[in-house]
Amino acid sequence: MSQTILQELEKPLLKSDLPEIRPGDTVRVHVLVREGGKERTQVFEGVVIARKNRGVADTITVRKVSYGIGVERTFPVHSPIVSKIEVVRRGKVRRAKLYYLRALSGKAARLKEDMNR
Amino acid sequence: MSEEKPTQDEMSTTENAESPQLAEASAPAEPSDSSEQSELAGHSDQSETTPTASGAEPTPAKPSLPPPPVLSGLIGRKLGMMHIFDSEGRMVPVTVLEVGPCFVVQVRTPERDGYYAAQIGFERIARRKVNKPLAGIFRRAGLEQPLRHLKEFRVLSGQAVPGQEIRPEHVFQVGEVVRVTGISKGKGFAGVVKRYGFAGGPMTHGSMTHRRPLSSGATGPQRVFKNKPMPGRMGGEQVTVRGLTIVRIEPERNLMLIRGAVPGGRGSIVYVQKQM
Repeated sequence: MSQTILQELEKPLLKSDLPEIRPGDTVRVHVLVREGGKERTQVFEGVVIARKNRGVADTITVRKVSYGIGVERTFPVHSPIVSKIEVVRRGKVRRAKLYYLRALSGKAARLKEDMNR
Repeated sequence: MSEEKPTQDEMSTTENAESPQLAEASAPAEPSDSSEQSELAGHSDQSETTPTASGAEPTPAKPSLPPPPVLSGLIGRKLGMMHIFDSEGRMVPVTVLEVGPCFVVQVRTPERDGYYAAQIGFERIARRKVNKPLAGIFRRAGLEQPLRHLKEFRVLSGQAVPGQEIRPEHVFQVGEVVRVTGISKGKGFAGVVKRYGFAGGPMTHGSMTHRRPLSSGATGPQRVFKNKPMPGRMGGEQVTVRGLTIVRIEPERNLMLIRGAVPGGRGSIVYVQKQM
């Protein structure tokens, strides 16, 4: 009973226009950034190494290597701050959390593309 | 009582119409002040002009009931927790409470009981589930169905009459700070690490004192002091959390979203009270 009410409350907060995002996918996340009263969009492109399914609190962790430094950001996908998510490439992976990528670099950190999705 | 009714009705309708807008303006302190003043003024007017109002027996006929009073709190049920996003896009953890509909069952008056309060009930139950003394109380209040949970709250303004329905929006406003009382989740017989936050001993390096309480005191007094933290039953006791903000009120479903966590598990009964 109570769970159905919670789900109803969540429904209007969920984004309906999100693409299917899975671990291994390369995504471009458009984030609204507010600086000095002005708002602009910043794009963060990288590989999804984790996805947490929690209803409105769904998050994806995106990893990229920027100037040789590994950078990870976790985005609440239903947040109004995340204006858009594009899937650039579908990766073929065999586990749900790709934390092993942190230990790899260069050629070893590549993922095969999944042509079937 | 009947003479004074129209004015009070008008007052309350205007106030009800205003309060949601004010609440949305996210300036909780000011609107609550103004509404309280107007309500208090209305209440004093009424008591002056019609001294018979308090003496009049409750009339179960629904249209004649005065508008719901503002109580110091309400009974509710914890439905669970979720997240919402605020205007800045920040994620806010909220507890969803089903607060009401509560009904006034009995009224405590200064003349008879020495204080002014309303006993309210929450959650309708079948008539066969209450014993005859209780059933009489509900019958006199003009309530067709008995209620499971009863609790008294002080009447802050307005007039309490048995049979009145009180919903969260009658008592609370968005942005208001409340305290919530509930029965915490029972943890059973808990050790000292979980119950009192003792550090415990090392897990390795040959240590054999992993989660033990170790010393219970100095050798000086040759006894253990009272209230020395020891293992024992933990949880399942009444806990009050203060300083929680009401984030949203959904009048259609009697729901209130409160920032932060609230004692007890899902489905447990909580008392939401105004912070004073």
